[in-house]
Amino acid sequence: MNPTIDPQGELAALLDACARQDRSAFSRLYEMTAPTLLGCLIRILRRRALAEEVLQDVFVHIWQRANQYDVERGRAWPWLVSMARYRAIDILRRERADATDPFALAEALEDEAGADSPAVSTRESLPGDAQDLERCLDKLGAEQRNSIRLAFLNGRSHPEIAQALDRPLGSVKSWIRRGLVSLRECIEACNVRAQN
Amino acid sequence: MQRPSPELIDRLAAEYVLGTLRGPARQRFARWLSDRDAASHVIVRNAVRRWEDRFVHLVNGVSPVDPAPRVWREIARRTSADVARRRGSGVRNWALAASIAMLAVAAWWWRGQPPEAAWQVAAEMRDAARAQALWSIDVDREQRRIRLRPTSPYALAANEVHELWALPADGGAPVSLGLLPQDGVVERALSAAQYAALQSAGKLAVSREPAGGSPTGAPTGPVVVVADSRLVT
Repeated sequence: MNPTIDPQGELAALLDACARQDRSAFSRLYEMTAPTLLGCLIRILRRRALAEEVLQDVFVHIWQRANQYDVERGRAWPWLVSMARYRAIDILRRERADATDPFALAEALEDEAGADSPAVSTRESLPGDAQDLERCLDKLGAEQRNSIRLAFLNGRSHPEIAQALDRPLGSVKSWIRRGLVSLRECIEACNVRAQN
Repeated sequence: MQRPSPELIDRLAAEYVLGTLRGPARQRFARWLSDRDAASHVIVRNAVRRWEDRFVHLVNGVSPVDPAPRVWREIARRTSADVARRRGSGVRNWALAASIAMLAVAAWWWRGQPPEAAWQVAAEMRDAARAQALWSIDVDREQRRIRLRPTSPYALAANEVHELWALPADGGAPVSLGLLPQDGVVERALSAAQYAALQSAGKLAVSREPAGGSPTGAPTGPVVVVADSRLVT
């Protein structure tokens, strides 16, 4: 099942049950979300073993803090994804010194260069918000779009994106800054249309 | 400090969520985000949530990867040890938890102040070499509860844990005060023997032990840190 679509609020219900220390809910939550979260973590951390360690920490944290999810009601999936991503980004920062194998990095960046937007044929099945995001990303320039995807999905910093795209650092920074403003305006416009 | 404009907050929130806000700026922003008393806290938090909600759909394009079976086994081990100590099992413990909660409420009502006031620092487990606090240990003498909080604990191998010990001032055998959390705050009741040992301990120590804690009831692994108890007056 795709946990990004949570129409019955199943994730939210599972998190509530975890807060009451329900082990079977915890195990179901893991089955539903761990593969996608691990996919995200591997892309950011580039090493499977490290990504699996972080995944462990994330779930131990979920178990201990599920009661805090209360304040984030209705945002189960963004809450989980953000927790995993922020941990991975913090680890990248700490591990910066032990630079990754340059060949592995080059390979990973080649894989990423095509950046993976969902195939157009599957887009119709995405929820409205996801379609809005894809449409608004499509309106950006290719460089802006790729920079934003590399940052979010692969945890790349400004200098790493500049290196991957072989463009000056200053340009990357301003593509991202302006790209974010355009995205926000475009998505807000979609929301306004949806309400009318 | 001048109040930052909503535009600046939104820009920082966007780059925080995207991941391009790095280094000290990221840490500062994260602190701001988690500080409920900070100026503009609600604006910052809402801006971050909005960007998280917008970007989360990018994850649709990520291929899922099934974790190795040992990942879940390890999560189950780390969390079940926690449950066993915090709650024991089943209904009986719900009843116990409920009575403790009622006692706490009664104590609060009686004393006219929140139960939180009962906590006092039992020890700061500091690493001499790094001059850094690793765990802080608080005790509630009235409720005979202990609260263990990692501040920057050592990394551990997957099959190891940290265990806390009370070292009696008279040189007697160390008494285990339980396993230390690697992450998050753990609070639990002390047995009468543990409480007595803690009351009379001159020092507290942390040792590294195999998963599940010392198999012998005495420290078996290397002692990571020793600190003076602050309870002895």
